Amino acid sequence: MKREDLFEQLEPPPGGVAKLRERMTARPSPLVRRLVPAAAALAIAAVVLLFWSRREKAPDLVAAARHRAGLEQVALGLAPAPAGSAALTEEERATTALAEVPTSNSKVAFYWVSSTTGTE
Amino acid sequence: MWFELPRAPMESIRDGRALDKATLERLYVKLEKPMFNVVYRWLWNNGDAQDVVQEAFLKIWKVRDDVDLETVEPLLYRTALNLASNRRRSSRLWRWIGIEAASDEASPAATSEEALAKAQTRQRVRVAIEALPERLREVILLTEYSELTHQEIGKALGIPAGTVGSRRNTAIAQLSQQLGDVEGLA
Repeated sequence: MKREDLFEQLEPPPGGVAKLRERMTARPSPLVRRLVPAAAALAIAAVVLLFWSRREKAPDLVAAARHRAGLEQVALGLAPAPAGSAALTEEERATTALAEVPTSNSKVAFYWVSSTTGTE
Repeated sequence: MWFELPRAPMESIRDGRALDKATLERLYVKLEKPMFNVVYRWLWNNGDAQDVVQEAFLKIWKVRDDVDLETVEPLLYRTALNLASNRRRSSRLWRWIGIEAASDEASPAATSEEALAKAQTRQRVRVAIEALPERLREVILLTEYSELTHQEIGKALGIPAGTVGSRRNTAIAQLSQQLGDVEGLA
């Protein structure tokens, strides 16, 4: 093989200088000019959304009430009833009356507790 | 007494060394063919190769105030090689995911025995050049097509001039292995 075959001199397509001149003076196409502001607006919206989603949230009053779980919250159904059942010792059975009061909420258990000591 | 001296244009201040539009066009006329030949061996497509060469000139034009005319030619080659390398990578990626059709130019149908032989030689050359690692390919193409010295090629590629020589020899050895002896290639 000859060197000229290996490193053949190819001619570039004609009109190169004219094309270069045109590209040097060319303004961005109308599509690009329209797309640039749209892309900028989209980027700003994304930043705002990110900032908004990461901001500190206001305290959740319902969650806080549930966490405290007082009797009122249990009654309102905002907190679960304490686990475990009410039970009386042998001694207490003589002086205490205990009865479960039915409620419409299955998660709430009310007991009616009454002492008989002072009534005798 | 005050005498206002006429302000000298930038060209005369720099002793004609500024990169203005006319200078850039002169450079383009001078370098279009050798740069095209180098870049073509990266992309194997006439349109893409011309586009990359022009893009290199446009990039240099944008930073013309910081360009030193003494070193603008190696800089143009470096820029064109970077652009060609990037385009080759992205073109391969698009082709891999099936979006872009193969950009290789179809060889014109051979009409005679001579034309057929030429097409076959071109194909063998292409395979051999493609088989070279990039660091060897850029050196052999720049030494063959550009008018840059080994020193300038070294500057363009960020390697010592001695390495340019040794890489060229390695490239020639690899090409000879693929294509047999090449007449006139020392």
